Amino acid sequence: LQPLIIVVEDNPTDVFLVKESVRAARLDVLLKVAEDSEEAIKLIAAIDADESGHCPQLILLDINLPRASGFEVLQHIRQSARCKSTPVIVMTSSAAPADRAKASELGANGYFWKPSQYDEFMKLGDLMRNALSDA
Amino acid sequence: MYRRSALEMRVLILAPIGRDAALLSETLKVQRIDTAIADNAMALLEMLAEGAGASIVAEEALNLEVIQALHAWLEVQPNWSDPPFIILIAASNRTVEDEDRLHQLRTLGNFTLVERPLRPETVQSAARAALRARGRQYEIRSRQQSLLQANADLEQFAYSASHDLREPLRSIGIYSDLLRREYDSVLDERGREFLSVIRSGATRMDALLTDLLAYAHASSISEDDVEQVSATKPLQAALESLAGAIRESGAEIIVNDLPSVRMHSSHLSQIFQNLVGNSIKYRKDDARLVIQVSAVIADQEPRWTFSVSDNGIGIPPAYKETIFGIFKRLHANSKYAGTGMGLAICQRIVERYRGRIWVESEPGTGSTFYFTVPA
Repeated sequence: LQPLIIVVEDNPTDVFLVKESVRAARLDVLLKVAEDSEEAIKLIAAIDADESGHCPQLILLDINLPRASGFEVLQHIRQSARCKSTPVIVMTSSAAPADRAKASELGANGYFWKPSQYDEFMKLGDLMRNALSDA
Repeated sequence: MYRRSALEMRVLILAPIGRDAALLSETLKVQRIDTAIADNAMALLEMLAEGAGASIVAEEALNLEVIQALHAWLEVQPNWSDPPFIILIAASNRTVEDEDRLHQLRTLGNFTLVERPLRPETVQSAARAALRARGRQYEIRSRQQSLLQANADLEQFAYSASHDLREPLRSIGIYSDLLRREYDSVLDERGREFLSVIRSGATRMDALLTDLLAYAHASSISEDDVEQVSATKPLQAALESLAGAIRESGAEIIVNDLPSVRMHSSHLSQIFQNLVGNSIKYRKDDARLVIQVSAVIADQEPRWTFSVSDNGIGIPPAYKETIFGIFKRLHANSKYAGTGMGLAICQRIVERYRGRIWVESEPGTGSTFYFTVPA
């Protein structure tokens, strides 16, 4: 069974790059995209409500999302009955130390600063591999 | 203009003997000056902490212990605050102990002596003068607070702006990388050149955004909430982020014993990163680069003078000052890439800590950058 990764990301460019990095790292995983925070929160709620619900093996979470921010999604995940210990990698192009601090305070397992170079972005693949093997 | 609260306008009175306190209070009331009477020295200290325009204290209420307690409280006052005291003393029959105490009072700093027997006009004018002076202090506090807020807002703005500007920039950079990777074979030389101009434009703008952020961050932290840090750690952090460039240049880096300083670690690290980074960038082609980092006690203590010296190309004397200006560069971007912000960032940080940064250099021999920071 392929591990499931949920990508919470509204920017199609970055969704494309996440797929590229999965391909480049030769990860055999299933990607599911949630385009905004509401969709992501509903997804987690649905897993909690379903008796046979399975949490994803990893969540990639953008912070700058329409409607509620990624931090709120992270809070929901950490309060979820089933998925509270699912690894979460926060992705953002913000360099603000406060954002990084907040991510780790809210229980993010990793922080990926979105780079402006294609090769640098592909390093996300290694980060995903490590997070999956830790889990 | 800042409007003072009632607490900040009142005059505290500590005069435990007889009806002194009540009489003083009435004397000031005539002038519409609010008063509050403290029964003992501890009560005075508590009321001072809540806010007060001035304090009138009878000499006999001050034993050595009370003076020390007041002194300890004054020591931890923020830099805008210098609370005024009006001390009532006996004009005659003074004992050796009285004189001793008077001597001790000097540690209170901002105090006025008023001799007994008191004339109402003397007390009133002393109180008015003290209230005026304290009023200015509260105004400075209010301005300081708005400045801190403005700085915090500016930094937040810089972060948001750089985030929002970086989003489209990332697309330009990444998609030109992709074009180069996947369509290189269908592009002719002219096409490849256009693409490389787009890519280097994106890279340069990325560097500018990073430096603008660092520039905004340089003034973000107030001097009051910095802690003592060993300078070695921020230097190591800087050297780690320069690891690639250090390896590539084959630079030898000599680090002498470094002291601990009162500075935010990320600020010191940023200075080291910019100065060592410059030494690497402006090295000579025909000599092995040697960079030395040291610190000595500065002439005006308590400060340290740090130095970063190299055997690079050096700086012509005419440009010793201009190089610290924002966006000032001495070389074409094609020869030495850069934003022209590195030294401006260093200067802004150093000035934030009321220090100084300067360079001594001989073209063709090398440069030494010095900066002073609080010990």
